[in-house]
Amino acid sequence: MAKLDSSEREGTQVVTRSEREKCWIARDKYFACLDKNRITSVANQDSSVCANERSDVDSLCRQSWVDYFIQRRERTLQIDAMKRYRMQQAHEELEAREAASREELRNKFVKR
Amino acid sequence: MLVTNKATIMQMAGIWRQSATLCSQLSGRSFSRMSTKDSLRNASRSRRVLFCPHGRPFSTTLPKFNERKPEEKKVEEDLDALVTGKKRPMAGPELTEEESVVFKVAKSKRRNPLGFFNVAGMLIFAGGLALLINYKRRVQRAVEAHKEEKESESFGKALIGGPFQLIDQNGGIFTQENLKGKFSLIYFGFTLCPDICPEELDKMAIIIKNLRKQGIDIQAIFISCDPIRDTPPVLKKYLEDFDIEGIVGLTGSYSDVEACCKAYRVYFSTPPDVTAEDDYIVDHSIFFYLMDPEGEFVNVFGRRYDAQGASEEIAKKIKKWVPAKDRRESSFQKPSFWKFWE
Repeated sequence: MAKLDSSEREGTQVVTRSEREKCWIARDKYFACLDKNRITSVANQDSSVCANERSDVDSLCRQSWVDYFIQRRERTLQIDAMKRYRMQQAHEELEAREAASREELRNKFVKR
Repeated sequence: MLVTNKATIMQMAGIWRQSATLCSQLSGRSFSRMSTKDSLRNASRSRRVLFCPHGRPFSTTLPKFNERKPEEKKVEEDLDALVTGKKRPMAGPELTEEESVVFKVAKSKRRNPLGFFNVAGMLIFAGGLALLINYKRRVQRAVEAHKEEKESESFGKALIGGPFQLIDQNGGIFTQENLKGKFSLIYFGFTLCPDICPEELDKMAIIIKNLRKQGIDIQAIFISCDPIRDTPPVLKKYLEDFDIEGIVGLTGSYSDVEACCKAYRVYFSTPPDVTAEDDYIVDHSIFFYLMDPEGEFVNVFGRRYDAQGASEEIAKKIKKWVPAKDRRESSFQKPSFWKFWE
């Protein structure tokens, strides 16, 4: 966990811009690895997958930040999946309705 | 209706004859054929006396316009006959000099195909019509703009803002009075924010720079929602990382910060019993608040505004702003009919 030595002495916690950016780069690498392995939920997996990246993140970022990033990623993925599912359902429903109306029209002519 | 009085009959006959002669003078036709006997008869029958006895409208104008001199008429008829083949051309190989001259004259005196109308009149009419349409469109636009303005005007006391007492990064006291005198852009956050607050503060830097470039006097204020960890030296160190000149970082006791957040309707999740060494994330609402030189609320900007959009919107609001005492209801300005370029 990153803390300035001076701030440790003072009892204050400060994160500078460069430290933040290092943390973000490590986080992005870790998430890229997770995406490659198609992992959405980290908690249920065993810690051998993407272990290196995870250790980098843990060393460069504060623990609360790591938890926050992982949670946010999971939430975002869930929301995206739900959106995609809903869109697909709506699309299917629309198609079914269209097909039904087309059938009806066709039947009308056949009867005649 | 029987008219028995001879004097009235004579009067009416006189009127009838007068109108007949007047008409005959105008139309070039002779009505002298109508004798006194006829006039008397008409009068006694109590016929309606029209101005022109034969009573057709434009009966004097059209004949006059379509009148042609007799010679031209003959030449025209000859030409028409030639063209349609009713008459053979002259036996000679060419037209004689006189005939060629007459031909030219006949050609040049062709009847105007447009008849009664002329080009100049049509142009003026079209111009007038265009002016009218343009005017109607401008009026519609003005009405819509006025309606929009009226809707966006806010009356009465604002629900956001209020008194607060905090400490800035140099240890000085800062209250709502310090907001007066210039515009302020306030952002609520905390220094140990993972990525959102730094992003928003960088956005704020661009906005402040854009506005100051336009000559607008605006100050940036960062208020911490995490007073326990964000002490003035911490704030000072944090704000050095951002390129905002003159930014003020505010913090204070937990109750003071809570009161300020309540006044600005800001939600934040810091519990009061944490210590400075604890590691937690503060959940808070993410907005920029624009305050005017009287310390009153103007507008709020959420995350859907990017730096450019927010600067434009803020500049627009500031340009439209008037102090409270000069404020009055906006009136509708009717556009001028003639100034079509406005």
